Amino acid sequence: MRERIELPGVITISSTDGLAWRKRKLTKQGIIYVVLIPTIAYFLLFFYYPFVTNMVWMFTDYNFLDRPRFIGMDNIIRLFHDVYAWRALRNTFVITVLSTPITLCISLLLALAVFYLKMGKAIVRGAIFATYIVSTIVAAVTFKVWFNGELGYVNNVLASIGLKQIPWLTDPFWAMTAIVIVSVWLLIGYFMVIFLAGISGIDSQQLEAGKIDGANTWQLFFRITLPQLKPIIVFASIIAISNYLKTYPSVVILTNGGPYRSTETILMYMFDQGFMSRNVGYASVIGIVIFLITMIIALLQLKLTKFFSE
Amino acid sequence: MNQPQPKSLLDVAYFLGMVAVALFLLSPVLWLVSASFQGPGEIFKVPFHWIPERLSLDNYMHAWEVGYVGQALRNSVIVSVIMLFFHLFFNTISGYVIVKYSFEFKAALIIFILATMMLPQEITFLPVFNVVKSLGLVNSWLGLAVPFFFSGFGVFMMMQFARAIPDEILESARIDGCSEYRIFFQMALPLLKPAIAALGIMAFSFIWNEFAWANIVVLSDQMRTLPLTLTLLAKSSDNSVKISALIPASVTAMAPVMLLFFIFQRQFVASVASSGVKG
Repeated sequence: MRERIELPGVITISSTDGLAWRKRKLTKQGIIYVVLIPTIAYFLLFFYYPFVTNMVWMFTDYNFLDRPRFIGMDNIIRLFHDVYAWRALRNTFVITVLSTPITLCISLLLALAVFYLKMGKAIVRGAIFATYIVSTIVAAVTFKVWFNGELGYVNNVLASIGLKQIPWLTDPFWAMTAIVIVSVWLLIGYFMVIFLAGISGIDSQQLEAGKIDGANTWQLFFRITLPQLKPIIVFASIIAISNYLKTYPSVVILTNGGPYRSTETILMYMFDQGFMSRNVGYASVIGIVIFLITMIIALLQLKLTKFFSE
Repeated sequence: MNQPQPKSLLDVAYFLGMVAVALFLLSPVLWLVSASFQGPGEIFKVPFHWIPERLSLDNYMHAWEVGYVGQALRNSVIVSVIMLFFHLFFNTISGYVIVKYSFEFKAALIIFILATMMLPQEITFLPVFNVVKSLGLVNSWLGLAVPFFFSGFGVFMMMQFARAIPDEILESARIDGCSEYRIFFQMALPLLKPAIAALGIMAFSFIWNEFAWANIVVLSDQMRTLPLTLTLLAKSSDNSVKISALIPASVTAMAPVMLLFFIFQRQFVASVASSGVKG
């Protein structure tokens, strides 16, 4: 205040202005530091540090209690000889390879069917999408009750139409079938909405032009609709694959990996090794394998999107 | 854009057909809700009674007694509230500051954060357990939520939306003498509301159903969340007594998300559609 009285007008304005500007710059820097330092600290502590720790633990024998003991490549060699690990990987791939195309086909068909609805579009879309709102846990619980051998709803329906009862969760083949059914059911609603958004974005003039040129519905679909949906299909398949590779709680509930470990997934095996058997070093190796598989798929995604956008 | 056309019989048949498809897909949910209100033993009647003979809350009382569902519900609510508060606040303000301020190494910071999206978070849980343990948060509500305060995706999403805020609004508030924090809370935050709602929906349906981390960090029965309680009941559900507790427990776990879905259906669908159509 005193400054302003003593100095001539023009200088007063510019000097207080300069002061305010400098102060402003300080508070501007203030918010940057206040917000970004905790952000960086968090990502370091909860993402980078654990990942690096995983890499280190790979070469150690560790059980959460004693200090990690360096054992070189033992854990990695062990992985190559571990039948259960390979079986868990194979089961995970089977779930992924079966569920992904089935899910995408059904949800694309549903999206098309909903798109051409002339009435009640929002209701049908909402009802189908509601399946996605049901959590993995609740869905797995429901289907577990449904697939129950004697009391289960599915077998009752089968019996009532004169078919043989199926040992859903006690036979390796049918247990896997049940898991795939649940996996597919869980994501149909999600991808239906994704595809519906994609179909709605298709250039309708092209379709009109195709119609005028005398193309039938199938030709229109395969020549115009499908090619334009390609980027979305690629995107959706990546999401589906990375989801199915991490199949875990649904299997814990449905079969708990059984019968005879025929449905155990790799993530389940990792947690089992890490927290039940306390082979933390070995579990880290499995974790890194999961990470590498995800990375390879992400790189494939980049390649594929580039390929399809040309 | 089109003239409203008269609806033909074919359109009605098409609609009814699609309703049948939707009902078929939803049948597990309808079955679950219907079964939860049935009297003892009625669940296993053949054929199944889609509409209960008489509404009964016996199953719910049973679930509350046998399964400690009330306690699990309380834990799930508390953990979800903690997680949502921090997740929305941290991701929003970080995304906003990254986009709207200039500073050194900005590009490096963005890569630093977005690269974590490539990492399946489950594989970090083994070391994160040690981190949470040294913070003294094992077997606590805060410990259940703390690994999900930030996410690469959350920051990424808020960055996208913060970009759409016009700089002129922020600049004029600055000239009026607003502090940088007030600019965020009073100018930016209201404009980011739809994005926060979308992220909130995704975050809530994630944390409400989170199993893998909870299964590790919860050590006592009192701290179990709904997914843990359900899993425990399901693992031992080989007899009809356990099944009749499991079903209402599942409905309890499903109800809050379903309720939110019916209220915010439009936002739900939009949040999924926006997650799919990314740059």
